[in-house]
Amino acid sequence: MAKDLMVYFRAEAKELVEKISEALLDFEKSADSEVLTHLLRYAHTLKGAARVVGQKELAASLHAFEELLAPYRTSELKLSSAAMSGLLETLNQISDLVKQLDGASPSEKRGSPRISGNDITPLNLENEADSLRSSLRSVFEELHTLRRDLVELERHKDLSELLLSQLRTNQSQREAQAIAETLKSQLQVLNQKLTTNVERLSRELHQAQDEAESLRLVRAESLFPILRRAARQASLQMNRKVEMTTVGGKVGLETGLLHAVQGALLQAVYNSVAHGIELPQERLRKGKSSHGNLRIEIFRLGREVTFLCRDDGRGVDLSAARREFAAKGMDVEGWDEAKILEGLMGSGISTASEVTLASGRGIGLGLIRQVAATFGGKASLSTEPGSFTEVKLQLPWSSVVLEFLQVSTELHPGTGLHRILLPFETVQAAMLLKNTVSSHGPNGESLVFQGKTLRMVSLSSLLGQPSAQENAALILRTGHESVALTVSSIRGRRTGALLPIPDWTRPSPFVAGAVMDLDGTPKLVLDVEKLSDEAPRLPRKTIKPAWNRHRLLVIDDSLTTRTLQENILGSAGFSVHLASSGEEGLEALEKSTFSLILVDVEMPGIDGFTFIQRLREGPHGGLPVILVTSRNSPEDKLRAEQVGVQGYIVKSEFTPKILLHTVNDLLSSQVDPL
Amino acid sequence: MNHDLKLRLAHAFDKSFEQVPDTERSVKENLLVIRLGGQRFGLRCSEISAVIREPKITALPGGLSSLLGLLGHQGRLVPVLCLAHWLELTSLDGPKWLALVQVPDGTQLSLAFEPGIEHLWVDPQDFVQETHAGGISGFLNQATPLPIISVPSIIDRLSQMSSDGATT
Repeated sequence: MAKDLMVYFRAEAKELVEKISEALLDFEKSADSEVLTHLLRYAHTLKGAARVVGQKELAASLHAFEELLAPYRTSELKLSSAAMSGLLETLNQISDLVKQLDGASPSEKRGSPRISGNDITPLNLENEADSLRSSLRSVFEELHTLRRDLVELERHKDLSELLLSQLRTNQSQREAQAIAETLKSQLQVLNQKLTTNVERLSRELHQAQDEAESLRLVRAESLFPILRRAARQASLQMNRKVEMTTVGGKVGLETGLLHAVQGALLQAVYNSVAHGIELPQERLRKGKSSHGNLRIEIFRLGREVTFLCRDDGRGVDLSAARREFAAKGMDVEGWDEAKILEGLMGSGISTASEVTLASGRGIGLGLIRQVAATFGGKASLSTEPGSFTEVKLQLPWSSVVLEFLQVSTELHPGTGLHRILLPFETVQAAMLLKNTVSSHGPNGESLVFQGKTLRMVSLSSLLGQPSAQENAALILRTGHESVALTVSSIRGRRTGALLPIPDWTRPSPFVAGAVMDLDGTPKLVLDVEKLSDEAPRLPRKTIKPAWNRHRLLVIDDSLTTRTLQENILGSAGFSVHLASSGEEGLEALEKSTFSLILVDVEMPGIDGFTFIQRLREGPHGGLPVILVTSRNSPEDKLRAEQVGVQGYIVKSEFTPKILLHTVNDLLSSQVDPL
Repeated sequence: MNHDLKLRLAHAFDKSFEQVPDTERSVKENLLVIRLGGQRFGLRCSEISAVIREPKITALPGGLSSLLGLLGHQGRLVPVLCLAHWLELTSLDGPKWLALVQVPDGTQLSLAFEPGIEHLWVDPQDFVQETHAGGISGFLNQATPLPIISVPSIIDRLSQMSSDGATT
């Protein structure tokens, strides 16, 4: 099994186990059939993916879990505590098996969560190091293959020398021709092999590079579980009811910075629960919901990462703060609200009426300000009495890891295409320009996306270069509005550490920094936030689409299965478009043309059968469809036949050979690629 | 041959392997001779940390007109300054070699010049010191005086530009 697929599977499995765990707790409380549907779907998706990667024990445990839940599908029974215990036990087994994928022993990571200032457990450096070692092993294997190819090349060289001597001596033209023919065909084979091997090696090296980066930098969202646990613990101690919302956090940060921020945010959370959010009865009296809302937000904007902690509690008592300052002998005459809040951030003064284990001593806000000062950032406090309190920590980054979409454009005429990276979180959609509706108005070209007219901006023109030929458009979220950015081509996703460019170089305002490529060459990163206000309205050039091979649509809600199919089909030369639901698949069909569709059955929203039925009713009704599913019953196969499925692959029997064979068989009846 | 003569010859032979006295060596200075717009210039070896031949440079849209782009060196981003442009000379097209210099703030800068270098070991007495104006610190006394590039003055000027927002 390819190592990179296991990396995807591990990530997906962890996420699904978390979702299963949350949904199970939810179902115990609500007995809601919709929650149960979600719960079963998560379990089923994980089971399918486990089968695809050959994790039979895990698949069997998930099957047992599904069986335990099966009786509740058809009745409105509430879970008994005995049934819940059984389900939790099975879920623990599943969780252990998933942890074992990382090399942990079953009991190693279980136990009650510990909350401390140094508890960024998701760091999991051992796993990342293992993963890196595994990637490097693959690289060496690929190098070994390349060496073998070089030996073969040497043999061809000998053959060419023989050919030359034949030609020099002019002995037999027929013999020389025979040698030349042999040489030509062998070189063709070798060329193909070398190209494939070099591409594979390059992929492995990219992965190793990403893993090396992740050893150094950790995603900020790894703070969320710790903060969630802290909020839960504090709310139990203080008899509060708190619901926590987390937003963003996809940015990777240096561990030192994250550790410091963790301490500051824990303090902010304790403060909010202990002194911000009111007791349930008090909240109800004030016309608020009995549950207080605590919102943690982490996002990158320009050269800063912002950490926000906001509660909808009673706000800061500004009069009490003023009194406290005065009691300490400070002259607060003329202090406005902003000055008092600024004073609170670093004064050691608390407006809390009681001191708790976690807060109330006035040290917390000072700690937050200290973190800001240590990292050259700023901390601020804003409030509206009776409504909210918000603590904001803004820190500059020296290096952050982000996911990027790699695109290409022509920066200087005649110098070929240059790759530019865009923060992936800003990309809403990508499409070929030939499939879009555009119009020309007084402010330049516009593109229609989801019923809205968006400004169309050319990437090359944006960077001050003559407009290049651009075939694709990206819909980017830019803060206030969305913008359509036209690019020459889309090259795929990658992760990298964004490095700042020295200010004195005065780059274009649209350059946010650079990411080192595998060979150490910097690749520029576009500052998408700047597009919203500053982007000039630039026309685009005529479009020449360049697809010339079969495009396949893969629809599956499991990331592992989608990636596996993309790897296999992509390596075989197909162009693959991925969709994670039937609805997304139907949308893709409206925008693009495909030669064949591979679809799962059980997915969120419409299932695979309904997707095929809708497909058959539409303009692409004649497209061949292959079902790739965990279901293996005669009834399912009959239904597949009824809706007009041409191929049926059971996930437990899935192999690359079977997939390619089925796809090629169906495509062989189609003469021309799209 | 008598014994004394043998001893004297042996001593003279041994002496011939002795190192040149340190005092004489230490006062001399290593110079790298580079070409800019077809003319020769000197760079003090003590002011540069490496010479890189024909690296890949990423063009930086916008940016100073003297800036060729960015270089990736040992995981760091290094701006590449075209020395010929900086000294207002006509720059020749083609591949570039770079001299890497350390900036006091811990960052790095690279100075691009035309391919090829010479090495000189010179007596400091042969330097004619002048002001650091225009990026030249003085000349080496030769048949054709060799202008010596002042790396500190380039760094100072860049740092000044960074704070006052000027462009070059």
